[in-house]
Amino acid sequence: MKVEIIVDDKADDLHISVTCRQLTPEIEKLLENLRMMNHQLTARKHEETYLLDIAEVIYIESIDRKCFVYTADEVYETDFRLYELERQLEEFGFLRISKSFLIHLQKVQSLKADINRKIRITMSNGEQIIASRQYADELKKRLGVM
Amino acid sequence: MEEKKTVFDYLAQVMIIFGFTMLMLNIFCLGFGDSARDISAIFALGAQGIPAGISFQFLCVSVLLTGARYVFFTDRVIKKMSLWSRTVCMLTFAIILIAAFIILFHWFPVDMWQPWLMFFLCFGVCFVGSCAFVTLKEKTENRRMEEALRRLKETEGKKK
Repeated sequence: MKVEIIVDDKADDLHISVTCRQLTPEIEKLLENLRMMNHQLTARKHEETYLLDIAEVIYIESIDRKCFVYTADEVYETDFRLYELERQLEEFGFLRISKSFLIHLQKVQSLKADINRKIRITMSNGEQIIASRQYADELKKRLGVM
Repeated sequence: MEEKKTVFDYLAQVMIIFGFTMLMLNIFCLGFGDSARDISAIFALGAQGIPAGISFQFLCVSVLLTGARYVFFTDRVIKKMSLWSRTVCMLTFAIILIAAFIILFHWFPVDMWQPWLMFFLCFGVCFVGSCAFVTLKEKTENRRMEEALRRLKETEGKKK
């Protein structure tokens, strides 16, 4: 693999070009990571690939090692693992709130204290998700109330 | 990564309930133990303190209340239930449990209305007081979280 970086102060925008014989899963993953820099998340639905605007994502759920991306109307599947998404989406205002959920804080409608120091989170689509005790403390720290 | 509670956490809970109850009963003993020694098994020793048998009965109550707390106030046994329903269940269980101990172990004569009135009055005051405290604390916390969320959304919205 050859990596070429050209620093040009006259360049208008960041230009990334990938040349390959064929698209391998590794290259797909690299492209997905690059798209995330562009506020886009690659996800699949019915064998079709979609580029989702990260701002549209409400939450991401991990079920049996598969990650599902929820927007207002649709559910997509992504090849990323939840811990990868947690790391990459942190700067876009996403927060891990339990073993299986990553939420978009901008899409939180309301927060309510629940039993055992957990937090019941209502998302903008009306879905309710429980933040487990340990992650609830992280959420409070992020909100600045702890 | 749910924080797991060990048996020691539950033992600590039992000891908190038991310790507080014993402290209160010993204060009552000093206050009116001698005058109540003839009508109540709890004050059989008068102002000298609580009999060992009674202490073990209160230990049993503490263990059972901690067990009920585990059932009603965690989601390990009952997954979905509103906080209000959980509180009602816990309160009902506590009243039935203590009433059963009163009758079984003759903590006071069951045919006298005054001790029952005092029991329900004390229980009611403590329950209403603690409920009011918890509700106020919860409302304050919810309001703080909502305000913090609104601020966070505004700040992050401005960044974009």
